[in-house]
Amino acid sequence: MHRPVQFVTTVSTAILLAATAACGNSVDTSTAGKTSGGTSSTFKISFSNYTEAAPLFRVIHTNLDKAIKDKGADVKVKWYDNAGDPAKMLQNAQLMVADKPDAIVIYPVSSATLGVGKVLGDSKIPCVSVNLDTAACHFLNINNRALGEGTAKVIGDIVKQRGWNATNTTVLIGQNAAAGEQVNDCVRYFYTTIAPMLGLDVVDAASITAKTTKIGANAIQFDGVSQLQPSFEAVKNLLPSIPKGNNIILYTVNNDSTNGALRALVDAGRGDKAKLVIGGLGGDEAGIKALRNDPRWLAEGDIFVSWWGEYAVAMAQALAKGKTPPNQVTALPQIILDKQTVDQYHKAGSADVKLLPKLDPSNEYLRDGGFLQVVGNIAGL
Amino acid sequence: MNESTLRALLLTGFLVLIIIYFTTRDSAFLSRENGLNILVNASVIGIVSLGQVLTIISGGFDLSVSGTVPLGSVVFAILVNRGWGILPAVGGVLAVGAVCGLVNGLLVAKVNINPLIATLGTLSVTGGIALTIADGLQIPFSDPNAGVLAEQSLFGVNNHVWILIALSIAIFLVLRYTVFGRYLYAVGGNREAARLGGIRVSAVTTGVYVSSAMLASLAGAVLASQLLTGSGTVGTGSALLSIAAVILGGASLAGGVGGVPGTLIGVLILGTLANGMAIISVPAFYQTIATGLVLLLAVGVSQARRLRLGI
Amino acid sequence: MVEPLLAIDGLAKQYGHHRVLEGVSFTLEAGETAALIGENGAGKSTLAKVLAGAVRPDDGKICIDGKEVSFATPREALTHGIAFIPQELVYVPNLSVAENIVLGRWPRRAGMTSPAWALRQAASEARRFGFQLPLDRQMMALSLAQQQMVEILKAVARNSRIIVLDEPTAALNSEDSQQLLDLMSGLATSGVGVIYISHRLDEVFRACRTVHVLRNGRLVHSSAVSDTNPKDIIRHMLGRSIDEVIVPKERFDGSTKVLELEDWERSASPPLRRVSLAVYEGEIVGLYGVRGAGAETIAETLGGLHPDVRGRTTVAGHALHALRHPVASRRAGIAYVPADRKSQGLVLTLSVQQSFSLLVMRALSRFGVIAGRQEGATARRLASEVRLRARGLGQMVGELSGGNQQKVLVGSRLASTPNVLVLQEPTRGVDVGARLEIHRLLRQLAKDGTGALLVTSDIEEATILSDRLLILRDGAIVHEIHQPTLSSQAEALHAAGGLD
Repeated sequence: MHRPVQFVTTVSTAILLAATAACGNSVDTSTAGKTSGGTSSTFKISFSNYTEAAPLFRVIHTNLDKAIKDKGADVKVKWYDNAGDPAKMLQNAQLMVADKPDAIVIYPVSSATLGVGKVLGDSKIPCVSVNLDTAACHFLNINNRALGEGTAKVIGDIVKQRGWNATNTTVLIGQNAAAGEQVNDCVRYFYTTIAPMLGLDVVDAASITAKTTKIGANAIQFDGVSQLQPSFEAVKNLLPSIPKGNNIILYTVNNDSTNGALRALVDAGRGDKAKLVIGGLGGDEAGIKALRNDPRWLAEGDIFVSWWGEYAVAMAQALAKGKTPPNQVTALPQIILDKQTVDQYHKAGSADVKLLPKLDPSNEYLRDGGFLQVVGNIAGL
Repeated sequence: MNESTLRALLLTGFLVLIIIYFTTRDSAFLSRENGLNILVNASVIGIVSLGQVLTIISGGFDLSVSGTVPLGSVVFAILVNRGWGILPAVGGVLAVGAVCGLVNGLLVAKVNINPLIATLGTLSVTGGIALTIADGLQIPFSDPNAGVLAEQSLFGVNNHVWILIALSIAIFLVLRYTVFGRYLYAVGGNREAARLGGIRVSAVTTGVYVSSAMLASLAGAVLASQLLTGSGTVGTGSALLSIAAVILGGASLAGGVGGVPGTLIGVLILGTLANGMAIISVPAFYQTIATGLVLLLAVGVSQARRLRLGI
Repeated sequence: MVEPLLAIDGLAKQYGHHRVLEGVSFTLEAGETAALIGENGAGKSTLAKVLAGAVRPDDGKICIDGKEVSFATPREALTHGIAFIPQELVYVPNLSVAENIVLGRWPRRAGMTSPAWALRQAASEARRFGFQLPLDRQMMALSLAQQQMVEILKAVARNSRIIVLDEPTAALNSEDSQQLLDLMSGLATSGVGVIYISHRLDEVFRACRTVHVLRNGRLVHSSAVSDTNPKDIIRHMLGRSIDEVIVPKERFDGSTKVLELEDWERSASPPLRRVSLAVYEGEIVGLYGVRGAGAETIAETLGGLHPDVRGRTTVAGHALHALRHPVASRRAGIAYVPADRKSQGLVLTLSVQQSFSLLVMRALSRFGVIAGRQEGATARRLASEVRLRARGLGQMVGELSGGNQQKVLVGSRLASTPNVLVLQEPTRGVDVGARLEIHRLLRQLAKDGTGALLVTSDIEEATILSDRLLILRDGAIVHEIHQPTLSSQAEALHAAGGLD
C-alpha cells in the first residue's frame, strides 16, 4: 500500500534536510565564501531591512549600495527583507548569523525582538539595531524628544511674536500609541516645550500617555496611527471640541499623519494661514516641499532616513573594531529645518539631501572608522 | 504505480531540484544548520497546515487560522507572563482554539453558511480579539525560559519540530485508521451520500473545524515561543500559506482527497523556497510571486496529467 | 448505388494501454434507426463521442455520403450534420427554452440579438418539426422528458442528418419513454439517421430497425432487429449464454411483518394521502407510479429525507417516533438505497472496501480505531455476495462501471444486516448483465428472509421482482397486484393512470 511509502519518503526528506553533514559546508568554518566577492579585508555586513516594499525603507538599501559603489568603499552588504513581519525578522536573523559576517545590522519591524535578540546575542557577532532596539545589539536611533523640543522652539518663537497665547490657541498633537512610548516622545515633548512659551498649562511629560486625549485647557491629542486616512478620520471627529476662532498648532509623529489631519482641518474651513501653523517630521519629499512652499508649514524635523545606511555601516565597523559607544543610543542624523535653512541641506528644487548635519557627542566616535569620510557628505568632515 | 504515489515522488523530486538550485547559487544553503533553520521556520506553518488539510479533506477550508494564530500567540504570552506553567498555558491556548473552532463548526454545519464566508467572518473576529487583548502592542515574555517550546533538545533539534513530527504522525494515524478519519473522507467526497448513509455530518464537520482551530492556536503559541513575544500582528498570512501547502501536497479543494505526507512535502517546498530566496537576497515580494508560481505549476502539471489520461 | 448516410470503417481508440475501440465498422442509412448495445465499458460512449467530435479516433475513417470527414471539435461535427444528445443533458438552466434552442445560432443583426427574435425563431422551428414546448419558460423548470425534447429539437433545427442519442430513456417513466420513441420514429420517417444507444432491449425491439452489439470495444454483431431475439443479443453482449433474462420467484409465505406504514400523510408536494402498507419477512413489495404519485416519496421518507410526513411507522415490531433524519432511519434498521448512486449514494473517491464498510464503521472499530482485518473480511464477504467485478478491494469506486457501482451501493446497505431494505431505481443506468445479477441478489435476499420495498420507474423490473406490486396515483395506493408477471404490465400502467 502506498501511504506508508509516502510517509517514509517525507520523513526521510525532512531528516535529509536536517542532517546533511560532512559533504555539506558545516566543516568549512572560514568566513570566506559566505558573502562572496572581494578580498578578505572587505568588511562584510549582513543587513536586514524593515521592508523592501515601501520606498521609505527601500531607499536605505539603494542609497547605501550606490554610495559604496560610487566611492569604491571596501564594504560588502548582504541584504535581507523583513517584510514588516516579526516571524520573517526572526528567520532572517538566523540566516544572518549563519552568514558569519563581520557585523550585523537589523532594522526591527516591531518590538517583538526578544527572540531575535537571543539569536543575535548567542552568535556574539557585533550588531547594530536601527530605530527600534534589540537586546544584545547596540542602538542607533533618532532622538524623538529632541525633535519635539526643537520643533516646539522654532514654532513657539514665531507664533509668540504673533500674540498667540492661552486665550486664543489650541495645540493639536497626533500620536501613534502602537509604535511605543519612545516614538511618541516627539509629540509629548513638543507640548511640554511650547506650553510655557505661550502661557499654556504646563504638565509633566510623563502625564501625557497613550490614553491621553486632553491636555490642560488648550491641547488635544489624537491617535492617527501614523497614517493618512486614520488621522483624517480622527481629526474630523474631534473638530467640534476645538473652540471656534482659535489658532491651531499642528504637530504629529510623521508627515502622513500630519497631512491627514491637515486635510480634515482644511475641509472644515480651518486651514487659513493666519490661524494655522504646522510642524513636520520626516524630511521626506512631502515635508520638504511643504516647508518651502506652504506658508503654514514653519518647521520640519528632518531625520535623513535615506542616509541611515551610512551611519549603520560606520557604527558596525566601529563595533567590530572593539569600540564601545559612549552613550546607550548612538544618534542618527537629525536637525530641525526652517524656511531659511532648508536649502543648506537639500538640493534646490528637490528633496535630495546634499549635506548631513554635523556629528554630535553620541556619534562622534563614528569618525574614527573612516567610512563617513569616504562617503563625504557630512558637515564638518 | 498509482496516482498518489507518483505525485508524492514528483513532489519530492521537485523539492530536491529546488535544493540543488539554491545550493548552486550559494553553497551555504546546503548545511545542517540551514536545514534545521528551514524545519524550525516551517514548523509553525506546518502545524497550521495539519489542521487545514483536515478541513480541506472534509470539503471546506479554514480561513480563520490567520486570526487564530495571532490569538494563540497573544494568549500564550499573557498566560505565561501571569506565571502559568508551560503545559497549563498550552492547555489554555488549546481551549481558546477549541472555542473558535466550535463557532466555525456551528456556522458551517448548523447554520449552513458557506465555509468561505463563515471562516472569513471568524477571521476578523479572532484577529480583532488578538489585537485588542494585546492592546495593539506586542507582549514580550517576562521570563525568557518560557520559550522552552522553541528550545533545542533531543539531538539538537528544537522542541517544536518534534511537536510537528509527533502531530504529523498522530494525524496521519487518525486519517488512516480511525472512524473519524474515514468519515472525513466520506463527507468531503460526497456530503449528500454521507448524510443519506446516516453519518452525522454536522458532528464530523464541527469536529474538523475545532481541530483546525486548536492546531492554529497551538501554532501561535509555538510562534510566540520563537519570538519570545506574543503579537497580534503575526501569522496573518497563515491561511493562504497553509492552503497553498495543502493543495501543493495533492489535496483537492472539492474535498475527499488529501493526506499528511503530501501536506508535509508542500510545507517543506514552500519553506525551502522562502529560505533559499532569502539567502540569495531576493526581496520578499518576489518570494510571494515565486510561491504563487510554484503552486500554479504544481497544480497545472497534475491537472494536465489527469486530462491526458482521461480521468 | 446510393452511398450510405454514414459509414464507419475500422475505428479505433485507446487510452493509455486500454483499447476502448478496435476495428469498428458499420453503416447507417437515411431514415434508419440503429440501436447500439453493449455492456458498460464495451465502448458505446466512446464511439458516440467520436461521432460527436468530442474525441479524436486513433485510427479509422468516417464517411458521410461517401465523403471522408474528420472532426477536430464538436462544432465541426455539428456542421457536418451529426448531433449528439448525451445522457447527462447539457443546457443552460436559467436561460429560456427558446434561447437554449437557438444556442449557438442566435438570430443576429449587426452583432446584436434579442430574446424576442430568439423566441420567434424557436417558435417557427418548433412548428416546422411538430414539437410542442413551452418556449418562454426557464429550461430548469421543465421536466426531464421535456428537456430532452428541447435537445432533440435543437438537433433537428440544425438540419442534423444523424442524431446519436445516449440512453435517453434511462431516467424517464414509461409515458415519456414512449413519447420519445414515437418522436424517434417520426424523425426516421423524415429521413434522419438515428443511432440509439440503450440498455433497454424492449425498446430496441420495439422501435429500432437495426441492432449493433459492441463487446470489449469490438463490433460483434450487426443485423436487422427482425432477424434476432433478445436472448441472442444478450449472448452477443455477454459472450456467453444465459438461461434466463428473468430470475424466478420463490413462492413467498412469510407471516412476520418487517415494515408497516399506517396512515401516512403529507401535505407538501408531492403529497401522500392516508397511505398504509406492510412488508413481510422474505417479501419484495414493489411500488410503482408516475413521477409525483408518491412512490419515490415513500422511499425517501423511509430514508429519513422528509421529516414532515405524519403517520405511524413500525420496523420489526418497534414503533418509531419519526423518521426525521437519515441517522434515525439507519438506527431503526432500515437500509436505504437512494435513486442516484453518483450524487446521493456513493463517495466516488473512496475505495471499494471503504465504501462497503462506511455505514457500519462503529461495528468495525474499537474506541474509534478501525479494525482493519475485520473491515477486510466484511468487504470480501459483501463483494462476493453481490458478485462484484473489480480489480481489487482497493480500487476507487469512481472507476467502476455503473453496474458494479450499483452493486457496491447495495452491498454497503447490506453490511448492517438490516431489517428491511428500501431501494429506489436499483438498476438505473446498469447494463443487462449487471441488472440480472442485481435482480438475482435481491431475490436471494428475499429467499434468505430480508424484506424489501422496491420503488422503480421501470415497470418491467417492477413486475419481475415484486411479490406484490402496489400502484400509486396522486399520493394514494389505488391497486394491488399479487405475484405479478410480465403480462401484468398493462394492468399496472392502466392503474397508474398511464397509457392505455
